[in-house]
Parts: sequence; C-alpha cells; structure tokens
Amino acid sequence: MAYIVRYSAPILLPILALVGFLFFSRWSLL
Amino acid sequence: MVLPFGLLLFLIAAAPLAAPHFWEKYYAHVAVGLGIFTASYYLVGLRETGPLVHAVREYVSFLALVGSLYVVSGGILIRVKGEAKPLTNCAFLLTGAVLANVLGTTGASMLLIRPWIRMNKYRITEFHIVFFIFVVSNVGGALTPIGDPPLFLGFLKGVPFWWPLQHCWKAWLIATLLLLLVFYVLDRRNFLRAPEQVREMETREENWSFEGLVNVPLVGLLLGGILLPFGWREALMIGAACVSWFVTPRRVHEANHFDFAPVKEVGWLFAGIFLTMIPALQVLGANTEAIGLHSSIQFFWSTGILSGVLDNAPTYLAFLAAAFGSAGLNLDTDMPLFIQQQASLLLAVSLGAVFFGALTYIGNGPNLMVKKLRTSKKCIRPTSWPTLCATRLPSCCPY
Repeated sequence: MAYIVRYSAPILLPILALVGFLFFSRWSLL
Repeated sequence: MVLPFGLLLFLIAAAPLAAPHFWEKYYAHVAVGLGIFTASYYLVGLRETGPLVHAVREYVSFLALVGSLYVVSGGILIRVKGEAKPLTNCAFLLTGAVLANVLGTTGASMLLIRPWIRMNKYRITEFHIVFFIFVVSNVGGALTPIGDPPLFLGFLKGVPFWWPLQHCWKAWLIATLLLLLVFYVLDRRNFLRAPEQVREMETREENWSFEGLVNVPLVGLLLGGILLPFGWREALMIGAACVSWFVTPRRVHEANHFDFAPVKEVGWLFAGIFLTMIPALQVLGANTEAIGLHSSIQFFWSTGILSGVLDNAPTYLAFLAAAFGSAGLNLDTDMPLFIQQQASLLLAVSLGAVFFGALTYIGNGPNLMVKKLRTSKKCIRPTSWPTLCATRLPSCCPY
C-alpha cells in the first residue's frame, strides 16, 4: 500500500484537486 | 463494528512491511477471520441476513469478473517491438485509457499489464505499475458505464449510456494528460539511466506479435455477459475462463508467466473486505444527512476520499442517494429530473468515485490484481552482471 500512496498523495491528489477546482468551484469551466 | 474493516485496511497497508513472513503465511486467515467476525455479528447479534446475502452476491460477481478476465486475458500474448521509450510508454497508457472504456478498467488492465511489464522489463519500477493503475485501471474508465463499476451502477439506475462521455470527457482529458505529463518526466529520467547498449541488448529480439487470439472472442463474450442477470452471468464467466484455460497453448501461458497466485490473494483479501465493509457502508448511508453535503465540490471530495478506502461502486451509490436526498428527489424514480436540475452533482459523484479509486490498492477491483501480477513476475531477471548493474540502478531510483 505504501508504494501507491507514495505516488497518489503527492501526484494524483493535486491533479484531482485541480480538476475539482476547475469543474466544481465558482470558476467552473462548465 | 467498523473496527474490523479499519483493522483489515491497516493490516493490508502495514503488515507486508512490518511482518512480511507472518502476512505471507496468514493473510487469508486474517482477512477471512475478520470477515467471519463481522458476518457473525449480523447473523447472531442482529439476526439480519439481507446485507450479508447482498455482499456475498457482489463478491461472487466481482471475483467471477476479475478472475475470468484474468484467465482469458492471460491467454493472449502481445509482444511489442523495440524499446519502450517514454513517449511510447505514454502512448501505450493513453491507448489503455481509451480501451478501458470499451473493455472496462478490469479488462483493459488484465489485457495490457503483461505487455506493459514485458516491454519495460529491463527497467520496470513501482512507478510504472502505479501510473498504470492511475491511468488504465481507474481514471481512464470514466467515459462509459462499461468503463468502471460505479458508472455501470449509475446506468442501472437510469443515467443514459452516453451521459458520462458527453459530460466527463473534459475532466477525463485534463486528468489523463496531466498524469501522462508527470509520468513522462519520471520515465524519461528512469530511461536515461539505463546505458544504450543495455537497452539495445534487452530489446533487439523483440518483434510485434499476437498469440492466443482465440481468447479475443471470449473477452467479447465476458463483456456482453455483464448485462445478464446474476447467476447466468457468473456461470458464463466461469465457463469462458475454463474454455480459455483448455484451448490456449501452454507456451502462451508460460510466456505470460501465468499462475493463479494473484487471483488467490485477491480472492481471500476481498472476501474479508466485502464482509467487513458492510457496517462501514451502512454507517455512511445512515449519516449522509448529518454530514451535511450540499455543493458539488463537497460531493466530489467526499465521494472521492471514501472511494479510495472503500470499494468505489457502493460508495458511488451511497453518495448518489445522498445527492438525490439533498435535492429532494427519489433515486429510483426521478433520474431524468435529477439530471436536468443537478447535472453538476451527478458529475461530481461520478468523477469522485472513478478518479479517486486510484488512491489505494483497494479503491478499485483491478488495482490489487495489477500489483499482485507485478509481484509475481519478479522472476524476470537480467541475465548478466553489466545488465544487472545497469538495470537495478534505475529500478532503485524512480525520481
């Protein structure tokens, strides 16, 4: 489990945070 | 009663590092023991069999799908010509992401993980496996109901088949391209560490080839069978796996290093996970009102984080029900109205469930299987000392 979290925490989560910001914040692209 | 589930998650994460010999020998006993403890609580303490029957049916469906795809795709041998350069690897992952919407993330993962390991055999590291899980086993499958189990559940509840493609493609494209960009940077550094003569030596005899193509129609049969009712579907899947096992030439299985160890481990671990997860999901379902979710961003994050540590399919349904509740609608009857009024909430729950399934090995079915396949392929060894030095070095230094 350590390996995947080692990459998902610093890489995947920020990318998904950006997706969330772009699509679901008040500045949504939708 | 959420404690056995938490304990099992903790052990899956920590025991292979803290007590590898114990875990290797007793993981099945621990997982099934915790599952039986939870089941006993429902049977003896609550005298309630409904949730258990539901969980066992889901487990049987899950294992039949994952196991049969594992066997059938294990009968297909794909050899890729030449060096796996960083751009080639990116193109391969992008193809896998598209294919995940046709074959499902499980089917695409099982079909492509072996060629992925083989084409990178002289420099494969954990980040190759992890990015394969990110892109092919999870994020890639966000465009159709076939792509990922949560979207299939949404389809069964009335979400139109092409709705995910029409509404998720922008997020899919952004997430996939960003992941590929990061992968390219890491892979390029890894690639440049292997001396050129080693790269040539390890790949010069490779050529494009496909064997075991008799399994291709069997994959189609499995995917068509997903739409059958429970019982028939599982029988068809097991039948297809048996046919594949007997008609595939032995040399294809040998070339794929095929064995049943990954299926066995996933089967035991998920037996425990499906049973211990019942109270965790019930607590979640009973408290969605109290959690106070209203905006899309809240649904995106909460569905996502819980999809990372629970299975993403039931988590999707729990949060979809909560989204319907927050809009004052009924999940079983009001889907067209919900899509018309709250498309953003549906998008948030869909993307959260699919994308965040990649957070851990247990977030989505194929994750653990891909990881186990990699572990069981440690028999691939460089053949000489110069190769050994040149290939172990990049493997030790993913950054």
